[in-house]
Amino acid sequence: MIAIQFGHYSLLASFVLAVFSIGASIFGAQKRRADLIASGRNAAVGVFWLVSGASACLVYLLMARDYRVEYVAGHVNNTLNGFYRFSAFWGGQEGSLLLWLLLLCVYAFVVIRQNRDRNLELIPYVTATLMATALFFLVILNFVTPPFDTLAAPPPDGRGLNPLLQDWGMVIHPPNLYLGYVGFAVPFAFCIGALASGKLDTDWITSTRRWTLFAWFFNGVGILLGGAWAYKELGWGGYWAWDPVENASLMPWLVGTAFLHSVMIQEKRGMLKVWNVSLIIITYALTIFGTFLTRSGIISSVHAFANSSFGWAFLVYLLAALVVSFGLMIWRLPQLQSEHEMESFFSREASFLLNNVVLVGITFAVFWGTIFPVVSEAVKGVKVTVGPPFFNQVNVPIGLLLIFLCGAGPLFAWRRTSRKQMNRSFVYPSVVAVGALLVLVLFGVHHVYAALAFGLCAFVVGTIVLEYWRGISSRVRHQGERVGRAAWELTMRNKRRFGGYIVHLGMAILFVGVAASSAYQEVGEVRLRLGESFALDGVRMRYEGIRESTSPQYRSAFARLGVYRAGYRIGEVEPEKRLYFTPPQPTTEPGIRRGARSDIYAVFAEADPDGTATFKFMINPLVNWVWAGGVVFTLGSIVCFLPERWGRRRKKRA
Amino acid sequence: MEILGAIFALGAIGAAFFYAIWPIMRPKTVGGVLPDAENSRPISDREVTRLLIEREQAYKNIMDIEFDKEMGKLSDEDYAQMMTPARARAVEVLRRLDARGVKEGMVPVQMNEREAAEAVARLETKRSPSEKVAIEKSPTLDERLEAEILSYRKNVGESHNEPAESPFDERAESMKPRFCASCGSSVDVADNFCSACGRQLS
Repeated sequence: MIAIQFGHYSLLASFVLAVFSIGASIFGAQKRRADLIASGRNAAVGVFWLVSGASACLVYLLMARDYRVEYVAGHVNNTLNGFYRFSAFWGGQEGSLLLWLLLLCVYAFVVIRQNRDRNLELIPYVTATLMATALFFLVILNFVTPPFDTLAAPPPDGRGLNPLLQDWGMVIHPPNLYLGYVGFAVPFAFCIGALASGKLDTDWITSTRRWTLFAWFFNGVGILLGGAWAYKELGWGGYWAWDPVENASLMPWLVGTAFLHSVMIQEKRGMLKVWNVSLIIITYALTIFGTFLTRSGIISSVHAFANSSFGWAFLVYLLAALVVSFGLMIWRLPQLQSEHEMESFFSREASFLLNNVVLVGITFAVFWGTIFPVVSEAVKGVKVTVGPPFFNQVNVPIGLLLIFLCGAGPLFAWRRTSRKQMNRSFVYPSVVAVGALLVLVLFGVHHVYAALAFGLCAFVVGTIVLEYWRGISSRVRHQGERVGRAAWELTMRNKRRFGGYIVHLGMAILFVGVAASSAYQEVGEVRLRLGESFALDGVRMRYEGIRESTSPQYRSAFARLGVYRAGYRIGEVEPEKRLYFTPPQPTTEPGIRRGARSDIYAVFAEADPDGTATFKFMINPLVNWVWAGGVVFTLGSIVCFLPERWGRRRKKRA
Repeated sequence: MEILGAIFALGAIGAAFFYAIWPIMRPKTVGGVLPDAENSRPISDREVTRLLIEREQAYKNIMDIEFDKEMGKLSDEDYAQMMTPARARAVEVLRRLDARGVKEGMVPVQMNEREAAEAVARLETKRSPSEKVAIEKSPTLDERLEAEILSYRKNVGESHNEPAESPFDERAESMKPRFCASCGSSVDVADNFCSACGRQLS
């Protein structure tokens, strides 16, 4: 009972403290009262401790299976193991909103600690902005969906966690994505701090560079983990379906990517100030919108949204945040003038700007496709769902342009690049791209978009190899280093630049996987008797037997399929069909034989009493390149994130 | 048990509230006004801050142009065209800083002490005695700029985890800009009293 009470009252007290923190910080900053500012800061720290306490209480109640609490009864049961009981913290509505709030408070705490003697002008407003976001979640958690509500008559057993969520991928994916989502609140808060205080130099950008990178990285990894989970768990053979929830996670990442690039222009050239402010405001708004999409029930039913006060709360907050943020921006417009003009279209700045336009364009297309069902219902009364064909039709050509820019951007110099120099830079990557394209076409790649994507990815790889080669040969020439050492030093001395290149390389690998697996996926559905086989794209699968097993949570049937290529047995896959007891729900666990060239993917759809079984087979070419690209993306992001001085060779002292 | 829970919850919440209002309640020693408010500083200081930041930007800009040249993205012609104004700007900033009596190695005052020490160290610590002499003896700003950028590039970011014998601390200390704690005017490192308000400097 202590935990329930403590959790409940902590959230209530946090609400009061958050209101106080906002008021004290803003009033203190306006009146230049250090004591009030300190008070607002301490209140935010108090919110952090109390929310952490409340979260610990909820975790404890879940682990202890305290069914008096409605949330616990709804999301765990007697058979669920400790690992999934812990993950049930974010398995439901209230818990995942509490996780959002907890991460926000942790970030606020870290920001306050980091800036005890820095950014003194900005910090009161930063604290106020972060606490305003926290306040919104506290309102929901206190007055709309309280996580510590109790049941009059506690049931003997809980309802259990949704079986689809009982997977390690689902355990780490949501907190991962939230780390990113919530992280964007920090650069946003600094931006609001800069606008409110009028200290509009690049300090707010340099102070939050790592925060932005951190948020962007976790958002990206969260998306990839979500894709990996869908591929492994949902059994439809893909990893991305332009589902609204997926789109919700992609949009802030896209605008965040644009922001990461365009802040460099402001840092170096003092340009695009209004644009950067707009981008981070939009990124933040999209994280709130994404949470709204996933949490309001608008996805499962449009009517639920219309009747839900919960959904409206999000929209009202979103609108208020947008009005205040853009209002501040308009108020400060005279101070947000560019210090320089764009000198040439053939410059790094221009290529960054173009990439920004492309990224924002894709975001807009995704946004439109995502909200179209709601808009169409509101306007015409008919819910028109927009499927993957719309998204692919619009985004594939823009995406191709984006891959091209991934390769072209690094070839330009800042300010301007002369025609002659540009030709010299472009010739090698272009030769690589055209060569790759010709070889692929000769070997039978006739899918236009796929061939273009492969060619452009080759262009990106060519660019990065060229950049490394130039840098390494320069170091070998001037510093007398060996090639390996020179490559390491080059990367470590220019982490932002070369870390970025490694990320681009990861994206190129990822796009190869995406293009191949979407253009050349082979699908077959078949009903087989024991001993019969089915061939697909040179691979033969033979139905060899069935076995059953039972665990405390579910009963499952495995179908054993031998896999043959060119007459030789190369292995076997065992797709599984599960029936969970509580809640009673069937799930399919595909059998996947992973390979660098292609994945063999088998789904056990149905077993009939007459001994036959229905299977769905898929050959997914190069799908593992998507995950490999993700690993390279992670490496590149880590390089960018490393402290500036890390990893360099120290010179010997005389 | 329930009462115990309520007391525990109330205690924790009470502590959080007390922590929040403590800064307002405690006896004030220096008054409640922001001590280092940007606008309360004399205009000359703000000008120096701006110039110091501009100097840092000018060095970075020159290094960027050199990096792009090294990476084969700039022709000799482009390089010359971009470098001339970039160097002219850096020289102009150095000249203005000299006119205000700012010593080389000084860092923007808005940085906190740790950042300031790091930035000073970037410019100073690894400079060998011969380079140091070269800078001091160089007759023109242009040559000084050359030497400063050389050392800046060599040292940028390499000041962490210096060996104990490094002169880092001592020099950083002496290079740090000083301000009067009473009125906020900038004061010379060697001064014992503030020239603006006469208060003794610690």
